[in-house]
Amino acid sequence: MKKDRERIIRISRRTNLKWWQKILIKAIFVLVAFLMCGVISSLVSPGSFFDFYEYMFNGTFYNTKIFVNLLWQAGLLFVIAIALTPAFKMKFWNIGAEGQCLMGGLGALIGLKFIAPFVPNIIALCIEFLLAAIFACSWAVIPAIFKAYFNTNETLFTLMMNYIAMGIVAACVVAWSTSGSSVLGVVNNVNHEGWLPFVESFGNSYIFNILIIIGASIVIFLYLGFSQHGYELQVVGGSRNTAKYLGINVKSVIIRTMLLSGLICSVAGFLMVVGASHSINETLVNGRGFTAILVSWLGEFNVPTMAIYSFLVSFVSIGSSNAAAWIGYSSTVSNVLTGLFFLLIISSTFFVNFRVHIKLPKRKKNEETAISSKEGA
Amino acid sequence: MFVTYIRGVIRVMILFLFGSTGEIITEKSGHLNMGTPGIMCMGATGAVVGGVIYLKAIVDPTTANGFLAIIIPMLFCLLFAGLTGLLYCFLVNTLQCNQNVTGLTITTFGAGVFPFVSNMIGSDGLSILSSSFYIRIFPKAFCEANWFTQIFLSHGFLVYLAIIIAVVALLILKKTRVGLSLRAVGESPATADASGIDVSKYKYIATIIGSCISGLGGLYYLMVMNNGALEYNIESFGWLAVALVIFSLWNPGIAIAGSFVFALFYQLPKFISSSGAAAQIISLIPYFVTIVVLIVVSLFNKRETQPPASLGVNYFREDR
Repeated sequence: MKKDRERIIRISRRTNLKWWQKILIKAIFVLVAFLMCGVISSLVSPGSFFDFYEYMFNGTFYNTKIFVNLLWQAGLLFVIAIALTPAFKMKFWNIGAEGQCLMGGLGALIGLKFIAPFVPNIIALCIEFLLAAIFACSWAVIPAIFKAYFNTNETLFTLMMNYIAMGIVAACVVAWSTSGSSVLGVVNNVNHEGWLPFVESFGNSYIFNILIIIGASIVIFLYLGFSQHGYELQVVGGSRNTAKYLGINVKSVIIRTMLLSGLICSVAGFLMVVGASHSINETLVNGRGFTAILVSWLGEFNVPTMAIYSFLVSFVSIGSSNAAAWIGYSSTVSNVLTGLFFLLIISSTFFVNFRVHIKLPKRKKNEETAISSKEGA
Repeated sequence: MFVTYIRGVIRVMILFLFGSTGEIITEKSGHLNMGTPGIMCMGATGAVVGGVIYLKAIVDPTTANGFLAIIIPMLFCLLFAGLTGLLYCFLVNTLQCNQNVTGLTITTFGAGVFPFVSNMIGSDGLSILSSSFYIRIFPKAFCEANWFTQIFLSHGFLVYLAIIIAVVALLILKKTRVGLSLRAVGESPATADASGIDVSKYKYIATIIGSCISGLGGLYYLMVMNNGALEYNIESFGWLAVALVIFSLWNPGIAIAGSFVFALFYQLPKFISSSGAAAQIISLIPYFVTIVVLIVVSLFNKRETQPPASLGVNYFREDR
């Protein structure tokens, strides 16, 4: 009986899918995810199905300023995903981007607060970036050293480093905030010493930040695809023994790749502090480090795909919290919808990688099914 | 003063214990469930939903029946957490999705659902229901007899339930055939399959039971630690519970001691009444300790202290 039941639905791996079929499957799931957003909205607040989409677009495409904000948020997510990708390709599960970005931000803030008022702006920016890089890279390289030499589990190591970074930032904020309010106000608010230049016509816009992000992504794209280093880290990810036989120094590749990961995270932290908030608190990164892991994974470590996913996720997240504000329910709906969006995209990977065979049992021809199943095996 | 401190430690410890016992059972089946913080959130959501349904049914919260006030939120909590575990297992085991990605998504999702649902349906009266949860199970005079009974015997039933679950889990894992099979599934599913164990069934059941236990942590957080008030800080507790699994070397018995140690450090700033930057630094000790344990475990490469060999790797039968 049981064997008969198993034969109705059978799953097998498939590798012969054409590129447009993959895109079609994923696009269908993205559309379903968008539809679900509206459905959930109308469940919470009946009759808000079409309003939801209207407010969603208003919150993201209404005017240049709002659209640039969307691009900036998407770009931030994208640059963190980019930072994680080299490590993931090496099969080093760095889930510490949250902490690495936060430490980068802390480094930049130290430059901003204590050095920028006394030096010319261009030197201040260089020092801020240098500090951000030192902080973020050291946060990334500590787990890498232990992974390289003692094979310490990096997933939990980097996770713990996130919380230590948050604690250190919280402690710094308490120590630096003057009135005991444990909130650090905007640093250098009057003369903007050490701030990244911003284009006045867009208000406080993020055009400059976005340009830096595009630059960083091109560098990583070339590094991964067309350099000796990119090749080496891929071999280390595939098989450490193969890497050894090829004469690759596995330990140095692990440490080098994590230094790069930290460096790109420091770009994110630097931009968040020097190019946007000009302040810091422990929730500066706000879970983007975790979301970026999903973006990098689901984008299959492919830079253009990651860009598309970052954009879609930011669109869902910003748009839905705007819609929630206008229709009148809790803005935490954006977390729910982002989670749902990812769940559906994850499910789509099944249909890309596997094929479902449905075969109704033939009761009389027992012998025939036995033969065909032998052939299948 | 010291007695109050230890009582506070036990209060926090139980949350860690629920989370990590559930995660240990899940990980023993080879599923690295990074969704545990989200599942704890879902458990808390279930508790809110169950509590509000019961409150709506009785209209006047002061007439709440102690038993029903406990059992209805608890059942909903188990239902929500179990369904989330089922979703995780379906995605990972049947749809062969990546475990890290699925787990993180479930955490994002759960951390969003809890505040969203509880904001939507409101939480008035939950604090009245929560009083049923910390009714002491021993008589009052006995509880306050001396320091020992004050520390160890003056808690609500969830505290003892957590410890009982951990001990039972330990016994099942180490002493029974089911436990042996479960460990085999986590170490090498292909071998377990060849010896006639239904790998899929074990993975599903272990993940769902593990999720239910973790979910009880959410109920505990809502009803006992916060007396029914809505606080949304479960996620960071959940990650500490995941870390505790490493600390306790995949052994629910050590998890009891480990959760006590974690809670000890967690409550330390309150005990020495430090505030400001120093308090922030002291509250980081559990994370440092976890890292030290991770390093020490990797230095001494003993077989008993290693994670299940196929942890985080999906088992696809046709790849054999």
